This record gives sequence, structure tokens and C-alpha cells, in this order.
Amino acid sequence: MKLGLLPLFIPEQALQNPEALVFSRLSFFSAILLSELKAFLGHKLPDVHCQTLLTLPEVLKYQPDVVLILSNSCDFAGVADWADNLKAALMCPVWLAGSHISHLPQSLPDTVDLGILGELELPVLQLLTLAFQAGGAHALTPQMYRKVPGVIYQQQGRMYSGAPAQELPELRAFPTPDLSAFQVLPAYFSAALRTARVNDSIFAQMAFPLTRKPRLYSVDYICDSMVNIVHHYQRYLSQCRLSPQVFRQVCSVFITDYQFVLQQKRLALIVEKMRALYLHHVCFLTVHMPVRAVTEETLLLLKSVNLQKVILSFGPFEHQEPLLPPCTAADLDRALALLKRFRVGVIGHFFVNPEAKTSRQQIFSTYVYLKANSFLFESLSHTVLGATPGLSLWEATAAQRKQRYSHWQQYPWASLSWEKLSPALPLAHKHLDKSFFQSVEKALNMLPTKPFVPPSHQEVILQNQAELVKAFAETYLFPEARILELVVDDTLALKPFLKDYHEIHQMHVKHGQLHGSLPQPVDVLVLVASVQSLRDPEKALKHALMGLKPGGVIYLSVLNPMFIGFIAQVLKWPARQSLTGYQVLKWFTDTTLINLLLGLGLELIHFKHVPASNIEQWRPTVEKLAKQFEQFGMQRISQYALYVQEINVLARKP
Amino acid sequence: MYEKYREQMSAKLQSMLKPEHQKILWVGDAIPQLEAHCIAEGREFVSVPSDIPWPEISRERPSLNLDLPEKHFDLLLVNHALEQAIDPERLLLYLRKYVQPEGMCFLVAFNIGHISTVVNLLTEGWSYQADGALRENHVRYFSNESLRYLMEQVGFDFVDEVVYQMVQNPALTKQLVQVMKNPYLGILSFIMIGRKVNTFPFIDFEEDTEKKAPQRRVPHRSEPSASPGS
Repeated sequence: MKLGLLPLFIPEQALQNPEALVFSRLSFFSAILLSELKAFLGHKLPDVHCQTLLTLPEVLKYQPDVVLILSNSCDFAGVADWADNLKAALMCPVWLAGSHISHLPQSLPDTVDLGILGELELPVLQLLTLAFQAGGAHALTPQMYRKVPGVIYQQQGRMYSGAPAQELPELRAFPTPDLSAFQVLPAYFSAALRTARVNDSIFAQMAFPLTRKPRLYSVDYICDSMVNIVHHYQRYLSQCRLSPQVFRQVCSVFITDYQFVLQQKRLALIVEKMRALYLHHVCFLTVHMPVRAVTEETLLLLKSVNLQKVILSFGPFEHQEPLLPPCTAADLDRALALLKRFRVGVIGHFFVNPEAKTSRQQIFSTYVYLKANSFLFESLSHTVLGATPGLSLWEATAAQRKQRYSHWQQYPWASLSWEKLSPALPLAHKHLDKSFFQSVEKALNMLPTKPFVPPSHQEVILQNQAELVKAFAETYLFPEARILELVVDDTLALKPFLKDYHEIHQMHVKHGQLHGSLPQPVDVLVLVASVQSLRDPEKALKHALMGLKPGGVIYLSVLNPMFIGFIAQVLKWPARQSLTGYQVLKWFTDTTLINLLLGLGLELIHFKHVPASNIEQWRPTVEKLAKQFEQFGMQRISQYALYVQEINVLARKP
Repeated sequence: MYEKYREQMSAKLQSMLKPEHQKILWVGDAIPQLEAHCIAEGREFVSVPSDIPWPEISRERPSLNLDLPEKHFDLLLVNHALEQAIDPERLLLYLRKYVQPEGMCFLVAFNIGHISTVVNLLTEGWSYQADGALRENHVRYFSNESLRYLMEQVGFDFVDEVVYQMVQNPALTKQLVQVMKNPYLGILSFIMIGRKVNTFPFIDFEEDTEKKAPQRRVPHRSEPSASPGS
């Protein structure tokens, strides 16, 4: 018997926006769910051949005996037509499962033979067993499946249902997901894995069928699934001939549920087993975490198994929605600071209106926070939620829904999509209208975020920084030297690399001013890029030099404003360089920097020009410019200076 | 060169004033001729007082405690103040609350991509000057794109822009425009004109029942004075 699994994952959706994160699309998770079901059925009913199918031509080619459609509320609009077309073309029964039908059984379309409420495995197993006994799925009649728990169906215009759905009592022996379908999924780059069955988040509630009894997958299942994912990547990428180093940064495991980090004891065991299996050497982790679960202990544990990205979902501060973990501005501040310190990329998702009572002020205050801190996120997406079955917003609109929509097919299901606010979105708010949410969406879309940083890039940056600091320490530091560094950007700080060998104090440069108190006099004062971020460098340096011992040295590193790469940038001067986040306020050449230091009574020891690594790239531009300046009788350009990217100066306090 | 620029800019701004611009809030470099003209015409011309450290407004220092009525002014005139502000966005966001809902803004800023800056960079390497984009007290720099982006970020819809052209070395400029693909090499400064937006996130909660209305204060009328940046 052939079972066609239809996750309603629409390839065009992903292809239209190749930069979008696939795992923000709820429909994608139907495919994950089906990969679990496929493995389960393969284990229990080896005679049933399952295949995940994405398009109608694929279904027609496969010629299944029965089709199982998985649908959440966002893609429910097309289910009736899909079923109608499939039945017309294949004359086979069509079954429907997924989160939508679990939350709203009464919406079962009459073109579908039956619906499955809640978890899939046991009802599908029983239905397929019955189909074998009947001689095929087409021979199944309501009289045969009416007693299957969790099954609903329509007959003569009336809806019938059996006993509540049965769930697998425990997941210890659950086979690892069959990932073969993923190879054909477009824009596939992150294999998702759930480590528990529990509806503890808006995401879980919308993406997966209702689970009545929360259960955890075992440590063995989770680690075996990760191994399975790695093998899948190896098969999928075998022709690319990636080095182990690159493979490790491509092979991604995305943990979708909160229980992974909330079950601390289990997490410790998972990490231990992952390390024993050397999984941290072959893949990286992206983990969905509640904001308050971001702790130093958890990050230490997860970093040891190559955590690279964290997904933080949050709502307006002070919200009361139980499906969204509580979070305040202080919680986010703390979590973002920790994640920055651990060099973990943050993917943020803001649920704008989780409750019918969400106020403008709540949304506004969260927006203001995000605007001020957007640079701490690698990406920041948002969802304006419509009244969707399974959410409290659905209950809040019960009365008006009955008046407005006489039939389920009229309800604007497609507008419930998480990706873009539709004018047809059914809202649950009395005081907030669509135009307000449209302006919220416009404002959120304008928030600047950093470009997505591939893990490989993150690692290279870290390695480069470590090498630079090592070279610096070898050249300028002596054992047990005490250091004061003026830091403008924590990612450029020496402290994380040298704290085991030296006593390092930090003062921070913020908004053009020096913050923090001077320590007892130190041997070395270090300013990597920070002198350029001071509104009054002379005044600030004079103050900092009070913390330097007589005979102590000061090391400064600045960007050269004559570097051709920078001059080319000046002519474009992108918007971000005019805003607060851009740290450079003052520019120095070697002459002006040396004059500044001499003016402060320091003795110059030496200065160094660091040439650009890509000189050849700039040579044609530099030569063309020099020629034109000469041609128009301008002052001669020193071509040498245009290739210098950085200037380093060392001076001594007499 | 810049004396003439200041004179002509003042005249340009004067010509751009409309009858509905009766109440003007100004911040940045002094514009004495324009101020005198407005006062003579009976317009209200109020400056952000010179002893207020507006260039230092930031996340840590979010308020200027101005003794001015909110939603009062028809026009916010920002004359080379953005280049001096550590956080230009916050400065404008703070000042926009004094502009009436249908009010406008004129943002005047030097163009960092002017040919004089490029020549300065190539030959001297960002040598600070007495005036212009590389003025000694400047900490922020603007292109046409970044000024327009800033205006939209702080809740003013783009209406129009006026450019102040100052061509130096025309033949070289023409060549560089082609090499650098930047059409603004001959433009010394921009006046970006915007109209106040009143949708999210630029909303006033006093109209909601969610928050009390702010107290109205008596307008402060300043005498012509030099700004801290001039």
C-alpha cells in the first residue's frame, strides 16, 4: 500500500524570499512531523510505503492509495480544493490531520474522508491496519473506522467522532525521524528536531497537533536523531567535498522546543552524550529558548556542543499569554548581553499581539526597546496574530465570528500567515484596528538589524581576534603586566583572551564619553579603535593616562581615513554610518594621532602602518584617481597612504 | 567660501518659509538674518537655548528638559545640528514632540560626499576645517541617503529636498562622478523637507484613555543668540 504524505509546504513561498528563515514558516514543520510519522510507520508496518510529496504532479506520479494532508490554520484555505482535486484525479481517499483540525474539528471539509485529531501515530496505524483488512484504503467505510479513537468524519451532512485520540504512552522507543523527504525541500538548511511533545508555546500550538499528555523524548532518541541528521547532511552534501571544518559550520540542527533547555538534568545528559559522540565536531546547534532560560550555566553547557544561534520569541512586555514565556525589558537586556558575551547569534521573533487586551502602549514600549537594541539581533522578525484556533484570540472573537462568517470556508484562513500582515487578517482587538497594525508592521520592518552571520564567519572572526591578541601580547606585554583597556566594542576587547595571564581593567566608551573608574596605576593602556569614538579624545586620554604608571606604555590602533576602501565608502555613506550605532566620531591620520600623543607629554616609541589585505583589489581605483588628480593639476596623492588600512602607535609615559 | 554659503542658505530658507509656518522651533547653527526676518514678520522664532546640551542627548541622557509647549510649532528647523549630535535620531525624536501634528521639518546638513571632502581625504586624510562637513566639532556625517533615512526614522514623511550646489574643480568633479558613481559630488549641503507622521510608532498617547494628557506650558521666546555649535 502506498501512502502519500502531503505537508502543504509550498515551494514557491520559500523561493520568493530566499533570505527568509525557513523555520519561521509553520508549514515547514508539517514536513518534520511527517518525517516522524514515516519512521514510525516504517517500523510498525513495513508493507506500507510512504512518500512525502510537495506538488500535485508529484502526487499524480506517485499514485498513492491514500493521501494524508497535514495542515495548520494558515494553510487550511486550500485543503478542501486539494482534497477535491486529488480525489478527482486519483479516486483515492484523503485524510486530514494537523494542528488546525485538532483545534477546530467542526471545520472538516466535506471533500475530505476523515480527520485525525491530536497525535497522528496510533490513529494512522489503526486506519492502515483496517485498510489492509478491508483490501485497500478505498474500501474503508465509516462503519469500519467510526470506533478508531481520534477519528472524525462527515456522513449525510453530520459530523461524527469516536473516542478521544490515543497517544503513544512514552517516546522512549520512538524511531528516529526519516529525513529522506528533506532532500527535495527548497531552501532547506536547518534540520529541525523536537525533544518533547508539549504545547508550551505559540509555535508548538500552531505547528504541531494537540498533545494532551506532555512527554519528553529520551536522551538516546535525541542524540540518535542528531546523528541521523549528520548522516543526512553527509549524503546530501557529499558531492560538495566540504572540509570537516566547513562541514561543521554547515550541518545545522535546530531544536524547536523549550523543553530542551528547561529540562536541565536531561540537557546535561544530552550534552554529555553529544560530546561522547563528537557531535559538536560535525554540526552546530540553533536552539529555541525562552528569554528567561538564557543563563550563564546553560550557555556554558550549550557552547560546549557548538551552540551558534539562539531563537528568542517574545511578546509585548508585561503580557499575560500563557503560551508565550513572560519577558521584561530587563530580561531581554540580560539575555542579549549574555548571548553577546558568548558570541551566540540571536534571531528574535516578536509576537506583536498575543492577547485580545494587548494595548498600544505595550506594543509601543516593546518597539522602543527593540529599536534601541535592534543591533543586538542578527535578524528580527515579527508576527501580528489573527484570531486563530488554538489561541486565546480565537475565543475572544467567538461572537463576532458567528455573525460575520456563516461557513468555515469563508473565514480568511490564508490571512493568518505569519510572514506578512494581510488586510483580511481577522483581529481580536476592540481598540486596535488594522491600520494601526499596518503601521506597527511598517515600523518593525524598518528596524535595522545586522546581516545574518554564518557560523563559519563567526568562528573565523573569533580565530582572527585570538591571533591578533596573541601577536599583541607577544610584542607589547610582559609577564604579569597590568592592563587598562578602553573598550568601545566588546568584540574587540582583549580581556576575554588574556584574563588568565594578566590583570585587565576595562573602561567603556559610550556616546562619546569615557565611563567607569580608573584602577590602580597599570603598566599598559590599550585603545583598540576606541580613541576614535571619543567626542573629546584629548580630554578623555588625559584622564585615562592618570591610570598609567610612569614609564608605562600606551598602545593605540585606529582606522586610516586615507584608506581607499574607506574613501569609497565616504562617497556612498550608508544610512547606518550617520546613526548612533556607528562608533567612529573622530578620524586620525598618523600625524594627527602622533601630535595628540606628543601634546599629552608622551614619548613616541614607534608607529606602524597595517596595509590592507586586498591591495590588488584597490590598485586600479587608486592609480586612476592619482592620474586624474595629476591631470587636473591637483596636489599629488600619496598612493602608499591609500593602501594603509590601520595605524598602530606605541608611546611611553615619561 | 562658507560665509557666502551661510548667507545664501539663510536666504534660501527664508524663501522656503510658507505663510503657515508661523511658529518656528530652531536648533543648531545661528541664522541671524532669518531670525530677524521672522521676528519682523511677526512669526514666533524660538531657539533651543544655547545653554542646553542638545548635542549630548543620548540613551543615557534622554531629555533636554525644554520649557516649551508640546505640539506647538509649525516648523522644526534643524540647521547643521545633526552633525554635532552624538545621537541625531534621538535629538530629532525629542524635538518632534514640540511640532504640531501637521507640522514640518527642514533638516539642513552638509554632504560628506562633496568634492572638497574627497580631495581633503585623498590629500590630507580627514583634516578638520573651520566650517563645512569636516568642521572641528562635527561627530556625525551625512549623505543624501542617510539624511533622508534619518528623517523617515524619526517620523517625518519625505516631501522634497533642496540641494546647495558648490562646484569645485568642475572637470575633476565630472570625472569623479563617473569613477565613483556618486551624483552628489558637487552638492555641498542638503535641505530635507518632511511632514510629521502621526501613525505608529510616532503616536501620542494623550489622545488615548490609556494615558493622561500632558500639561501645556507657556511658550518660551528666545532672543537671537549664537548656538553652541556656531
